Amino acid sequence: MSDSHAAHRFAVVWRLVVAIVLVSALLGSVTTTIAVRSAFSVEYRPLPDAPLTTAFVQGDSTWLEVPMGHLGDPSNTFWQLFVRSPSTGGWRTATPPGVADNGGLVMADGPGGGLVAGFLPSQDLTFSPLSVTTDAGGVWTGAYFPQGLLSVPDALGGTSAGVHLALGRKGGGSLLEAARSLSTWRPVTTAGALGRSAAGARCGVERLTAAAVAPDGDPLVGTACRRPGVVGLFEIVDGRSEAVPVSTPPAMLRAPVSVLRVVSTGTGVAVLLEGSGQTGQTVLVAGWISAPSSAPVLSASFSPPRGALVATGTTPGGGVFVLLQPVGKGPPELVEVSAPQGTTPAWDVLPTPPRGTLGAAFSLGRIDAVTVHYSTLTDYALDEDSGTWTRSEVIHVPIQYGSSD
Amino acid sequence: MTGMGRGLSAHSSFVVSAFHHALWLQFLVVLLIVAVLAGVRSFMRARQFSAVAPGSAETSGADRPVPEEPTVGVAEPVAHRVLRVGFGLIWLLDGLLQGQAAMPLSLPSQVMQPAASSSPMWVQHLVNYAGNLWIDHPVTAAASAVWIQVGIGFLLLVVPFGRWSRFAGAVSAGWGLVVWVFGEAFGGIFGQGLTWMFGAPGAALFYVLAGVLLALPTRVWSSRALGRWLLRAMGLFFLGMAVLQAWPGRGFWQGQANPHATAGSLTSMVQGMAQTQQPSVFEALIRAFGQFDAAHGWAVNLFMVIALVVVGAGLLSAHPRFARWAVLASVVLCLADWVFVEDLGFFGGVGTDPNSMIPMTLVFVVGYLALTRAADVPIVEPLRIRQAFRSWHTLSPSYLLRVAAAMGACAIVLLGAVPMAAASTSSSADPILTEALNGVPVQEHVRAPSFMLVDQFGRPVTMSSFRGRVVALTFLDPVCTTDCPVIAQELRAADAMLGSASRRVALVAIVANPLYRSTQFTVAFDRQEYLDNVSNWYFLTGSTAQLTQAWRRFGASALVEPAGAMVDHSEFAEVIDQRGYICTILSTDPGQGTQALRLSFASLLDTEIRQLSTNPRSR
Repeated sequence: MSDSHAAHRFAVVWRLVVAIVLVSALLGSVTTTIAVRSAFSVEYRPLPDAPLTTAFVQGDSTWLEVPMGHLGDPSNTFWQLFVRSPSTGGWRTATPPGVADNGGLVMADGPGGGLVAGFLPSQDLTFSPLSVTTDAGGVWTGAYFPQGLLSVPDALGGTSAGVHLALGRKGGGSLLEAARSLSTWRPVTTAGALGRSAAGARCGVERLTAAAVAPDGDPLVGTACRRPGVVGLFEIVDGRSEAVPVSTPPAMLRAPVSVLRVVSTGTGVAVLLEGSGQTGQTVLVAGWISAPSSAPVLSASFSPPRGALVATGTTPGGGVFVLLQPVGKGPPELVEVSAPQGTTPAWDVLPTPPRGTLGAAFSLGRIDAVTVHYSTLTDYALDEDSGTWTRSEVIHVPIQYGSSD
Repeated sequence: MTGMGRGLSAHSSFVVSAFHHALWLQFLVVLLIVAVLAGVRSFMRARQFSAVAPGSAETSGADRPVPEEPTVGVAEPVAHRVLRVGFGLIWLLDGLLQGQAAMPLSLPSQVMQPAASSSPMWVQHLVNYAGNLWIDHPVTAAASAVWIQVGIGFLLLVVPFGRWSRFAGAVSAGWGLVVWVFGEAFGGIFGQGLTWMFGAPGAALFYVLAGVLLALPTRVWSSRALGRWLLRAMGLFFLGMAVLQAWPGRGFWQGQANPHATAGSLTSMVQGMAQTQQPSVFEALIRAFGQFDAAHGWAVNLFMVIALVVVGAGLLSAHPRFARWAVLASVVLCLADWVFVEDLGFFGGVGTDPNSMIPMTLVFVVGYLALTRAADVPIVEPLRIRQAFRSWHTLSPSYLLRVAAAMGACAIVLLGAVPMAAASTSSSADPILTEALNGVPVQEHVRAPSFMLVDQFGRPVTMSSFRGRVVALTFLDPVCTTDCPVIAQELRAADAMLGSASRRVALVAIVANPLYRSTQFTVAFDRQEYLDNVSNWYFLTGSTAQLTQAWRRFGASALVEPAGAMVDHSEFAEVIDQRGYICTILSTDPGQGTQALRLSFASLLDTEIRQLSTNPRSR
């Protein structure tokens, strides 16, 4: 091969290299631009279900449920139940024993004025044991539920009078009713059956989201609807599904609505609805059903800042509260709406709770916010006069790390 | 491969000693093979001599040829020899590295899993399959890898040029492909952060390439085209790698502005390699380069891009004058990368090979030699193997020795490949895992205590109900979320392994939770674990007093723990013989390594039950 021939070949190779580099750089810049654009176009999507962190008022007692431990590691996150009553003074740990509760806990009124708690399935456990107490968490008794409970805060519903409901996972979501005792359950309906009913077809039932006992003792089930502007709240009367007449608030007409909570209160049933407004922002509306077969009285709508629902719960007067964590590093926001007393209830934004607040609880004459640091729960009480939060209690929980590994 | 190997120390003395024991035993087999082949060769030589001896019966009246150097494999091109011997030595080194103590338990979690971590799911599934196979049979797999690689290395070193050598190349390429796919996750070519500097496209791919080259027809080696093709392919590869190296946004253009800043890709890689346990001189070298790259990351990458482009262009030209300098430069570049970036590749206890730079260097050199010295020896088409066997009495002593050695090497490869193939078809795991974690079963001979409980159907059951059957008895919490379902699956697997023998066996569990003990829970647990259709399964429960009594009598406990924890209960199983005597006690604690223990306990239980079924112990 001559030198000139080799030199010519070398020049060709060099041109090829330069061409490859240029094309690569072009492709790189184009793909980078596309990637950046798509990252900016990601829309904020509201939570599909309410968080399990809840507070529940039962007579003069308040129950608070929060996750503790290593919150980023499910096998070392243990959900704890605390109870506060005038007799106890402060919070007392009342977590039901005997089952690992890494999957979360749900609670509802239990028989005889007690409380029933359900363990959500976790790891290899596929059904949900229940636990019942009639002495504010002093002694717990095991009860059986044949399915895994749905991971929603109102997967259990009940009254002290003896009607108990549960949302199981089979059949894409099913509603069961305790027949004779809390260990014997019979099916009431499923998400599919509800969707095929005349009432359900109007909503386009997507999934079951909450269960409670209506004032007349019939099962009440909340759903997420596919159809915009329809509230999926149904009463099961003699096996038939009847839509509870809810006049959808104007702010929720344009997007699908989810029933986040349906909770029995001392005066009836409180409902929390979530939808999207015209600009895509989340809209919350509370409602109350106090008489059999009546339409709920709705609160004004509330548009929280973009972010995540951290906790929800009821207040002693039958009201509803919501704890929100806005996007970014802003402080949490605690809002409350009282049960109706003549006028349309409006949401009150309470003084900003401490950073890192994970749960809240409303007791008679007292509002608490709690933070969690591994196995330590710190309680802050709100001084409503000064609008400040004061640390009132620190509880160390003897978490057994590694016990669910 | 989640949790693979967790719960067991990489240097578990139990597993390591079993591994070394297996290697020693197999080494004795190798010696036996060598002895037999030496005997065969001596016999053949004796026959050859007797055939040519004056006045012997075989020569009388016959016109037998005198043994002489045959025309088989005498003209091996230098490029071929360098490739064959070079990769033979590398395979030998790899085989020896596979003998490191940490290999049985750490290879999947420390080598295979990380290699696949940035690859797509389908690659991870493939690697997980092989990883699970390895971790189910750690001693068998690790010992097999040693002998397969030593065998291939030895085979390459001893084979004569010709068909034997082509066969050795095919074997080398085949095993190299297995290593590249399952061990190196395709060399990371489907993953992120692909770069020549970290070893892309995987050392084993060069083993495959070398094997394929050796497996090529003999006549190919007589032409310069092979060298040209090889150098051009490597040139294109270098140019492609240069583009990747220059690509913005991949972290190679940055070093580390300060110790708290995010390190660039190369800096963090080198810093990571410096953590490897190794002689201080190498640690100092790589640490120094890491500091240099942290300070001059942009300049180092610019140099690398230019070097890759220049070398790639030189190789692509395939002109002897340019190629010589390009090969020389690439050898220097590869060696520098091998020392300063790849950290020689084989330190840290789980290094499986000297990484990609040495085999890549060999391929460059072979390409250059094939280009410049292809026709320095005449290539003679060798005898067919069958033909050579048929006329064995005419073969030269050296050829005979090499053929015997090659057959020995094949036997060594099979010594590793056969157990590995058998293990890959086994549905159970090696009992050694559970023994390593929980200790060997304790042998006992005491009468099993009595109890009065009910089974999952509410039928009364006592210890004497099982008289005449071997009983595997354990304690399970029906609402347990982790260990109990795993143990239940091991019991179910043991039942399946027993086959028809399970008719004379009872699998029994006593509820180990004082709060959730009704038959509703035992039935729900059975359904959850698919034990409801196992006819010899009994999940026993009773009142709290009855359960407490049973726990106490068997030396078990069940403590209710606070704060959302599950019940803390004893985790052991007892194997009770047909006459009601406890014969063996096994720990059932799956620890953290539930994946590593998959079916291992079942195998152990199966063995213990079979021993009692076929040979009941006398008092």
